Amino acid sequence: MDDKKIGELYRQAGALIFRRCLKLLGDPAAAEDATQEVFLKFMAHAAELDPGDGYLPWIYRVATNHCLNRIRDEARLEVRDPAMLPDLPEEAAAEVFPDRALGAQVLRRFDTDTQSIAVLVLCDGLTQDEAAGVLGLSRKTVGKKLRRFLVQARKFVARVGVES
Amino acid sequence: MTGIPDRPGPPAHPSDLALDGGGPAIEAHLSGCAPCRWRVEAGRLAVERFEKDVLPRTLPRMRQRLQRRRWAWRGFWIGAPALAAGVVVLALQSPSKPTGGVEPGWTGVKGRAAAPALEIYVKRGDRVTRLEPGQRLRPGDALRWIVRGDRERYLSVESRDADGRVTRLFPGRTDAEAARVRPGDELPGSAVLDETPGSETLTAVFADKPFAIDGPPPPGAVILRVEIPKDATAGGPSR
Repeated sequence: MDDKKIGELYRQAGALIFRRCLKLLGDPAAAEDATQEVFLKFMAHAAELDPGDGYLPWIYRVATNHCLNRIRDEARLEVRDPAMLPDLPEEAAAEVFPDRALGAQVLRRFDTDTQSIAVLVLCDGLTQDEAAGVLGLSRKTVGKKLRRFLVQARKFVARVGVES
Repeated sequence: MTGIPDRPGPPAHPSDLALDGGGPAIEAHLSGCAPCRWRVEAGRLAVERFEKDVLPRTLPRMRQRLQRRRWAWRGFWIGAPALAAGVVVLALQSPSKPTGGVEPGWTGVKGRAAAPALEIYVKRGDRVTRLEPGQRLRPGDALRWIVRGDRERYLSVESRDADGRVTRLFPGRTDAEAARVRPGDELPGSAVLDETPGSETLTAVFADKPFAIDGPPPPGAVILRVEIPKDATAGGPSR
């Protein structure tokens, strides 16, 4: 593939990847790094993808997964051992568990498919059918994993003591 | 009993994916919905930022990285017809029929092109090559894996060094279950070999259904195991 074609694809798909990563990571520098890594993966699969849908399902799936891995890896450095944390009164818990770290802690408790489903449905507002299409899963599997996520995430947050 | 809604929140708002898709129904919705117009504008600003700032700065580097990768992959595709014989498929085992040990060497799976397999690539310095039968590894070598087969499966991969230390290679260390993979997937991350002398034994477990990594392989799982010799130092012979 020549440089010109690479440039065209980077402009088209790279922009959508960056937009997705920026939404999930919230940090332009981190989104820029993630965009480059995801675009490399995109180029490895570009020939198999359907340009008719603007590569959107693939971008949603792979960029989401990449960013969730990054969030999870970064959170691991912040909270090494929850058992080491002191007991705190409820109102102070929110300071020790800023939303992002808590979100990462919650997500980390689930497999990668469930993490992606939670983000796509609960953050991006996709229907379960849309999420199933993006992830290549059955609607039944998406529903089952989403139910499990909601039940167990709520239990975990209640245990931590953060007000919802 | 509380039902789980299909999509929490106001059902009248299209998803991000639907907004991206556009169309008359979306346009009609946007004309009457300020929050969704804001969502679209936020996305447009991100794209604009990419085009004006990120793309000009990063495109040259992306081209360079793709050029390097192109050279690394060229050898793989030329060798593809013979690859089946060199694919790291060894000592197929069923959980109900343990073979009693690891068999050294390499075995192609003839007549079973659909069987799951892992292709291994080795990065040494700036050079990336496909792991060949009998090739020895060195400390500092980084390994990557490509999944092959005929369908999606669930996969876990671990490595055991000569001291018996087991390292989970895939999925992530905090995942309790095997991860779903598709043929052609490149597993994320890489494993860098340490100085422990002796060989590395890689074990990959493929199954058609999810399974707990810390438990026994499920019935019907395909277990692939390969022992890769390793030199004691980085300057040792390569084969």
